[in-house]
Amino acid sequence: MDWLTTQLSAGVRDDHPQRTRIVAGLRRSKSWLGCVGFLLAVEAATGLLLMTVYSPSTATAWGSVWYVQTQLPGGWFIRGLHHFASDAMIVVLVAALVHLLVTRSYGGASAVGWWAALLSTALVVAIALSGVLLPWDQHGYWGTTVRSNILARTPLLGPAFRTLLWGGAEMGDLTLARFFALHAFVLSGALACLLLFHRSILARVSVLRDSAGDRLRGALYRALIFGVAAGAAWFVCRHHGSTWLGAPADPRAADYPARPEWHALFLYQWLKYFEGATAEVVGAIVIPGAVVAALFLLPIAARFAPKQTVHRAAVGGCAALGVAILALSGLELLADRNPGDGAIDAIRAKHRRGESLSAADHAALRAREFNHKRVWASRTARRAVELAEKHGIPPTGALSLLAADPVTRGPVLFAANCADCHRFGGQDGTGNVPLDAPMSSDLKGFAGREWIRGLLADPMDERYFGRMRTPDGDPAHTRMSKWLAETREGIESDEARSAFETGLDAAAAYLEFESDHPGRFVNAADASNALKDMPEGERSIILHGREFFASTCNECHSYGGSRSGTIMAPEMLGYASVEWIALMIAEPDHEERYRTTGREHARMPRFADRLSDAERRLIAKWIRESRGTAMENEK
Amino acid sequence: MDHSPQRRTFLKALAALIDGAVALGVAIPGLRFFAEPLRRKRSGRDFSRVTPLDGVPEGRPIRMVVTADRYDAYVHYPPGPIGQVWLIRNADPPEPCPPPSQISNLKSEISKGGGPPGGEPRVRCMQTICPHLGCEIDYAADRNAFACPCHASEFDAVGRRKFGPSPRDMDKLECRVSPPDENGRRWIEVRYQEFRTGVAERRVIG
Repeated sequence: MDWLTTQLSAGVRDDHPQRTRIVAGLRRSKSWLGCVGFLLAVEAATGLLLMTVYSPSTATAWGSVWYVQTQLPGGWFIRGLHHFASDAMIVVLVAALVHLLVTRSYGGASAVGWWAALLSTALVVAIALSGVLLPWDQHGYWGTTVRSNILARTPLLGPAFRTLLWGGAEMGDLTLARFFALHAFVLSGALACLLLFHRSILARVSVLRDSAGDRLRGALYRALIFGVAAGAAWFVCRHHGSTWLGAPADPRAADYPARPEWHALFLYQWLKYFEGATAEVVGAIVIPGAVVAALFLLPIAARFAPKQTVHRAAVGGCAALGVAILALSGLELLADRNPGDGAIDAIRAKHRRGESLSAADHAALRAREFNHKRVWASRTARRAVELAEKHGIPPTGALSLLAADPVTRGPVLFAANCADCHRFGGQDGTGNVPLDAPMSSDLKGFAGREWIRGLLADPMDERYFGRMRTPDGDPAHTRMSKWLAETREGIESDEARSAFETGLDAAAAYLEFESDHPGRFVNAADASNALKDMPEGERSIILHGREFFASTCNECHSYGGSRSGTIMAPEMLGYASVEWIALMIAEPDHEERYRTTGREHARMPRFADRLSDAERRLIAKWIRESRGTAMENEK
Repeated sequence: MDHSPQRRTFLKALAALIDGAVALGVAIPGLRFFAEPLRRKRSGRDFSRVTPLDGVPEGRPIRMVVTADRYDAYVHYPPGPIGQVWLIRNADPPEPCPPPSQISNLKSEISKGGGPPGGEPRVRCMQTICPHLGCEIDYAADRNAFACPCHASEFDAVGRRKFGPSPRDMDKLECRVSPPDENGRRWIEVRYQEFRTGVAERRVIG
């Protein structure tokens, strides 16, 4: 340190030919130092507060951050400040580097400031990246997975480095503990030491000491900047607070569209141009490494090569770098932009006409998929917060809240298993409209009054059986439609016709009741009990529907195993209850469902072996509970 | 007292030696402590039952969870998901790829849902982790292709690299169909492994 001080003092001797320039350069380095030091103090203060709650383990991390964010008074603000101060440090340091560069404050004695700024930038980025994992949400988990795997590509030491960083071959409790130690102590401690060291050196160089006026001015500026920044942070946190906590990390989610932080989007785009294992090492490690090395070596180059040439090359290179970063970020945003419904509709129509899709079509589909997944991810995140508020966090961790949640698991299971044939309000449950036309019924509002009434009006409508085909390609499930047509034809008087339709209205109301109160009509006393609190009109409609069912539908549709006719149609006891739907999913050819009879056999495959009982019930519950409140595709 | 320079030098050297020994005495255990994950070996897993054979539809890939107990450092998790696999039944093109004249036969065979006439059911099992940078690969039914949500690597219906940054095909896992159990059910059994990402050749981790 003494040596450095002597060198610096010598560098700004009164008789040094460039004294003014060097003093100015070192002063510039003092100004960013104050700014970053101040921001680091904010990080330390908010970080300490967060540490009083945060708990780094896979079962508790998300819950503790959720607790900070939503439950503790002002937690959203503390966490928001912690987040924004980190962004601000990156902005300040990049601005400082640009400032030092264009004012030539990197050569000779000013090199100390240049190197300190570069090292601080590297440390701040590392601190930010290690902090992203700590909430153990989807964003942090998948981002860290990708970044660690990029690091692991470093020749020779890469894989070992990843293992040391993660504390094993997979991410888990040790990963969180290590990242927490890195984030809160090792890296931020290193940054604090670096800043203090730099400051103490500058303080020893007598010409750099501030006058009282300087100090007052500095304090005023600082107070002003802090006031504006804290106000802005408060505003942004208030209005975007909850979005920073993604859904709890799910190592098995294949639908999380990971993208890096805003300041690294350009790297994401950049890597698209390096395909193949070797090329990617060049793009991800060699070239960025070379750029950083060139920046570090700049003062040395300025010493040994003609200063003017080096300066021009450096400024030109950095300007090109800046333009490239902006352009790449822009390209990335462009590539991920939602192509819009019109474009996708056109592609879908093209696909259904049997035409092959162009590369641009595929790109549009991928962008659509990305946006769709992003919407779904934020919906899941909001749901996780809702569930945590309702039930608290179980000791097994927040992920088990979502694992047992029909509202988010149901649509995902539906999309993966049912949406090859079925639809839910025209989409696959999660909001995505598949390219292929559906082959079976649309289950949005399934067994609601309106849905059943529609079925009774015309079972061969596209919403119900209309799209179903037997293996020979003939319309399937036609018996009900035939029966309805024959019955309607056989009615002679207008009066009887309207009585029949009213009967169907009532039957729809009754079946909706049956699905809400499965089996209540097995026992008359039970039924009157359940109907007791209903408004008179409603009660009489349901009773009328029950009568209509018993006299008309019961001929084919059994109730509790008994029917009056010989044709066998699905059992209606507990129709569309969770149990009923779960059995339908497990064994659609069960004798109480669409048993295999002749050519009109059950088209639906059995899911008994494909989905667990719990999964079938999640789908069933979601279909039941989301009746009438379908999840439209959010924009 | 002897204040000779030799004695002083000797004492200085002695002090440095003791300091060094103490420092090493702390640093070596410290390093071993910190680098323990490098020494930890993952024991190879045996085959685990994934799903009954009947649960896997013909031709359409499905994702199944592999269940087993596992250790994460000090936590012993009861049997639960340790990873996932993509299973495809009877859509495996024989290797090497058949000449075009046979492809139509193959297609009709697949659409009939049978394996080779009278043969064993064929199941292809693939790791869901993308060989590129480790995200989970999704299946896009629209395109009948596997697609990674992170960097848009795409693989065809049997996991061969189509385009995008993945350095290799999706990783195949060893799998077999068990003989019928006491209930007459046959199970798909998989030896679950994970592989290094970002390299052209397949290398098991741990």
